[in-house]
Order: sequence, then structure tokens, then C-alpha cells
Amino acid sequence: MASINYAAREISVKIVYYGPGLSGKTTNLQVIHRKLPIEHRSDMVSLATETDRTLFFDFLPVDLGTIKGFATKFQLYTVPGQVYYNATRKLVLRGVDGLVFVADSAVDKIAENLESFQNLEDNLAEYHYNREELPIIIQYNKRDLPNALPIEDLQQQINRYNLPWSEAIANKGIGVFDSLKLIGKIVIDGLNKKYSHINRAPAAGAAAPRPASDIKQMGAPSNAAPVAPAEPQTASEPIVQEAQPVPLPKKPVTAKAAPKPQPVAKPGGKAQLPVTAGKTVRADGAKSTKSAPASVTKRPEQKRRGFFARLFGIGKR
Amino acid sequence: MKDMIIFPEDIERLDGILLPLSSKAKLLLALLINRDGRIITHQGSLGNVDVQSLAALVAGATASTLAIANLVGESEFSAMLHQGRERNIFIDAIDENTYLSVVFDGQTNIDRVKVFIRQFERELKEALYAVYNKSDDQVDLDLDFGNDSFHTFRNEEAFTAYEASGDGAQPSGDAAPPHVSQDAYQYLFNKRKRQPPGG
Repeated sequence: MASINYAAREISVKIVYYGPGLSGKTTNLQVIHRKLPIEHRSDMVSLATETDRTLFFDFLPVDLGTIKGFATKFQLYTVPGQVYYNATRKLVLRGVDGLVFVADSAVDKIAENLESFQNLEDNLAEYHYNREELPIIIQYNKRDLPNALPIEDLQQQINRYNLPWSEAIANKGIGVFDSLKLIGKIVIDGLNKKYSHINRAPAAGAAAPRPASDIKQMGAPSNAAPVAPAEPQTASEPIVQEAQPVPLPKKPVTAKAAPKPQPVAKPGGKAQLPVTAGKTVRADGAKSTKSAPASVTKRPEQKRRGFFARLFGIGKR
Repeated sequence: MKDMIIFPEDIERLDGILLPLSSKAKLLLALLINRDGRIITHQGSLGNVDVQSLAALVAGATASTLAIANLVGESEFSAMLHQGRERNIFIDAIDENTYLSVVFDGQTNIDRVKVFIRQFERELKEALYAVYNKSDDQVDLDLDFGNDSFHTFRNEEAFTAYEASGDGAQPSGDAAPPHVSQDAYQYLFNKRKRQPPGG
């Protein structure tokens, strides 16, 4: 459940990185922690064993900026991937608003990926969370492994719900932010659909929404009789994410189940970051253009001065 | 899953309870969190301790304690005390969704803390009931940012676009670009100067 705080004018959502052991969940958070400007993140908390395996969870609060006057705070968690830590893994899932399933692309890890995804579904079911209503994306990590499976094979075997997905080489910092942007966008779009009055059908007798500007004058909670909530147009409709993959250029593969990849041309002939631009399609088939994330660009490789150049290098000189 | 919606009057009411509680029980920090680790409100501080991380860890500790309780045949352990050399933390379940976590030192003692928490518990429960029992229709949010991106990522996207143009990017001058705060610019510029060339 998200937290919407009109007093602090901030929205807080919980994103959990899930997946099999050693798939790169903690690495994702470490990269985000390392690369985000200091004013946008706090210290990362890791509850790990002596061998640096996650024991309980990693926690990283990040501030992704403001949208229409509301600060968006994302609380990023990882779970311990090892099978025997399921009790603690389940605890971390409580109150989750969005999930990034970090899958290992290695050919010999398919069984572990599938087992972990099944475990995710089981744990969500125990909390009575509806998987179809929960934003979930799949990050195919370790795309640089020599024995990495082609995306089409991974898609066919792991992504049986046609979830949005992205590719990553997390230990090199590639694709990590694309996954965070993708899940962030889907989660915020979901809240917008739920709470924006223009997205809700007017219902006779429904309580009028509180305009943000009037909040201060409202005083004590209303004593008015409880009113049936307006029927949201989209809230009860399961949202299905349809993925449009953009593959890694180094591994040209034959399209099978997934749409044919479209390489993105980039000046200078640099390598392209693998990402997925997802578009949101409602279960009734009506496409929502609002939820379509902007096309995601890639960073080819980690450069030493990339972080500074990113901050300083705007506009040509 | 119901979202937690907090209005200014909720915070006003809760702070109006936590403030006298902190003062009477001589607490360093009174932190009201839900079971997912989200802060509802807090009074007091522990210097530069990050209360968000504290809330996440307290929620983790209480969640694992609850699981332990279930294993040994209890429905829950309603309170937890962590005793330190100088500071102590007492965690009390106010209702099924909320924990009050208080930090105190040698100025007070656990009995005094428990007495005052008990005194204010009912008021807290009533105020929290109002927080958890709101209709979605009381909320109107406009979070549509179309094809725009999160502010935090704009620098990276701008950099990516710049890099795609094929030109190298070099910082110049003392003034920060319009999209970067002066503090961040200065920090990063100094940090960059400290790094050995090619290192």
C-alpha cells in the first residue's frame, strides 16, 4: 500500500527487488546508491551475512523528484534470494507497491528463476495480493554472460504473464536505472489512475474529492455519513503490461514469441543499452497511451567521468 | 491493499498526542510507523540518524518477532524492548497496523515510558482509526507526468542525449547548470578534482 501524505506533500511507495539467489538484486541497489546524486538518496542499509549474502533485506530510500507538487519517495528493498530464507522474504513483501523480478540470464539458472517466480506468486497469494493488479516487471540481468540465454528463450520460459521487462548488466551499472524508471512509471501511473478525479467516473452521491488547495481549511475529519466510493474506471480492471523489447546488439537473436527487436540507432556507433519500453494495455483490450513510458535510452558502458559529465554536460559547446 | 492517506489534520492530531507523551515520558524520539515500515509521524530526533532507515529496521524487527511469536504459539508479542548501554528502544503495538517506537536514555526508565504510553494509547488508537478509514474519494491527485521523467533521472537522460551527440562533456565555470543545485555541483566538482587522472 502506498502512503499519500498531504501534510508533507509526499507519496511513498515500496518497491521490492525479488529473484533467485545471486541474481543481482543487491547489486541493483548498490548501483542506484552509488550513482544517484547525494541529495536524492539516503544511506543504504544492508542486513547481510559475513559472506555478504542478504540475510533479511537491503533498504535504500530514494527521492525521485516532485510531480505536480508531490515529492515521490521510493523505498527500495531487496529480499534474500536463497531458498531457505523464505520466511524473511515473505516479511519484506508486506505492503509492496511494485516488484522488480531480477532473473539470472544464465542457461543453468532457468530452474532457479522459475522456482523463485513461483515462490513470489505463492507469497503474494498468502498476503491475498492480486498479482494481476500489482505492478511487476522482469529484469533479465547478467546479459554479458557467455552462457546467457537469448531473450526470446527467457521470455518464453519465465515471462508467461507477458510482463514488461528490461535487460541489464547490473554489476556494470547498465540497465539498472531503466528498470527503476520503468517500475516507477508504472506504479505512479497506477496511483494516478486510482486517485486522479479525471480518471474516475462521477458517481451520484459520492463524496467530492478534496482539492489539494482546500486541505488546510478542512479541519477535523468530516462527520458525514459514509458514502459508497465512486466506481473507479480502471482500478478494478487488471492491468496487463505488454512489452516491446529492445535487445542487446551483441546478441542478435531470432525472434520467436516476442516481437521482433528494433535496434536503436545511435550516433558514433556506440553500443546500445538494452531496455524495454512498455505500453500499458487494459485487460479489455483498450490501450492506454498515458501509461506508455517514454522510449528509454541506454548508456553503452560505464565511463569513469560519466557521472560528472551527466551533471555538467548539458548542451554543446 | 488499501493505501494509507494522511491529511494535515491527522498529523496535527497525532503530533498533539506524541508531543505531550514525549515530554512527560522524557523521550528522545517517538516514531509512529505502520507495519510496512512507513513513517506516519514522529516527534524528537536522534541527531543525524535517518528516521526512514530506523523505521524500516523497526518494521523488519517487529515483523520477524511476530513470525517468531507465531512459531512458538503466540498470536503476537505486543511489545519489544531493546536495552543499550545509553539508549533504549521500546516498541509497542498500538493497533494491528501501527507501532509506536520510542527511544529514551537514562533521563527516564522503562516503567515510566510504559505508563505514559498506556495513558495516551487510546487517543492514539482513535486518531489512527481516522487515518486508516478514509475513502479513496477523499483523495484527488494529479500525478500524470505524461512523457516527462522523474526529476532525479533528468540529468542522466540529458547526459545520455548529450553523449549520443558524439561530443565530450566537460564541466566549466563555477556556476552550476540550471538543472543542478549549486551545492551538488560544488561537491561533485571538488570530488572530481580529488580523483587522480585516469583513476
